[in-house]
Amino acid sequence: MNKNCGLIRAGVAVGALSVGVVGIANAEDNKAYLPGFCRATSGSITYGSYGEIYNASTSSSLSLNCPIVRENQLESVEEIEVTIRDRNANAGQDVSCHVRYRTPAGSVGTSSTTLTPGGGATSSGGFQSMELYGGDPDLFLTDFASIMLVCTLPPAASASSADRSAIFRYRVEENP
Amino acid sequence: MQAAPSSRRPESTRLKIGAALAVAVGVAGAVLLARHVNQGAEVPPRAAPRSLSVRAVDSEGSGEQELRRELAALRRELAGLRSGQEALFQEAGAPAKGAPADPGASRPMDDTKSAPKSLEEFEAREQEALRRLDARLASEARDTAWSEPTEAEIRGAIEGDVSTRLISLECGATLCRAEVEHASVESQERFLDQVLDSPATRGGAFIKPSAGEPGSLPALVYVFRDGHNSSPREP
Repeated sequence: MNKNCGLIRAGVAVGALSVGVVGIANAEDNKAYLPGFCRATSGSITYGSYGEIYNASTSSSLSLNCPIVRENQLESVEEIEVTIRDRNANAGQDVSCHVRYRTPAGSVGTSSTTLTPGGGATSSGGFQSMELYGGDPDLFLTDFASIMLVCTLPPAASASSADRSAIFRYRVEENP
Repeated sequence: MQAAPSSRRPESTRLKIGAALAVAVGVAGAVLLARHVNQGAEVPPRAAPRSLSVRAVDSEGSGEQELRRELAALRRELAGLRSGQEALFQEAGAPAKGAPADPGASRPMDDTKSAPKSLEEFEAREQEALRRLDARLASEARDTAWSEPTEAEIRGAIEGDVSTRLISLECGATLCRAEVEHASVESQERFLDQVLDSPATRGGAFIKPSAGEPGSLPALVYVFRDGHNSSPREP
């Protein structure tokens, strides 16, 4: 009898867990974007072969507005991960990213700003993962708001293409 | 004529009891058979009381008693399984069947939200959220280590625009609130970009511009301390 109860309970537990996992899988949405979707608001874009964006200027920063498409406009953005390369080692010349949004009522908001992890230059040819939020939604009021990722790439450390800072991809995860 | 039905009544009652017992025996037998199938060869033969229930079809007095005990045992077992299932549902975070809903329970997804039906409804929600921010600011003690430099930064960002006038500015420990007035829609739009690009809003900000008289367009500016830009639904 006890063995049967155990089996039945285990079956119910597995069933409940399966329902939970399926539910979570349905609610979660994860999208990775090419930076080629972004547009420059200041500076000029240099595109790479895989849709990545470089700042080839040695004197000006490059500011980008990148779209974020949410699957469910009532869900907040849980996490944004941006794959970057920061080739400018000067203080205050980091890659910086934040989220900006506009609500249907015309209000605007911004998330906190995230800088190059470690605050230094990425090794030549290397990639760095920059995480906005870290799993804790910090946007104020985003129901039905249009949302975009705003990133700034510092000027290139030299004229060499290896010294250009870049954004390679960005990934957006909705709050499950 | 009257005696006949009364003499038949005990017999029909016995028949009903017999039928009920037969059904019970059938159910018990099916359960036992399923358990035998599930257990397979590793399980020793069933104990005597369980197999008695199958032999009790002969409706002998002792068999009837045995069936009743068997039924009671099965009912207890079913009740145990039900409570176990409810416990599993509760562990999984879902309300058990028949359990009262707990509005305060945490949910992986906020399914209480629904789409605003109109811009007015959205405005009302936004105003309510801002009232909660105001209440949060009112409850905060001023943290001068953060509030004084932040106020200076906010003043610098606002006063850099000649067509914007600062009406009031107040900071607590994690939140600042400023009331401003713009000379035109153009200056209001420029102001939004200017403030959101300034170092004062590195921790996040929310700005609510409002309609007003020409030459006097008000806006509310909320500036968050880094790490405290939380949604009003998730304080």
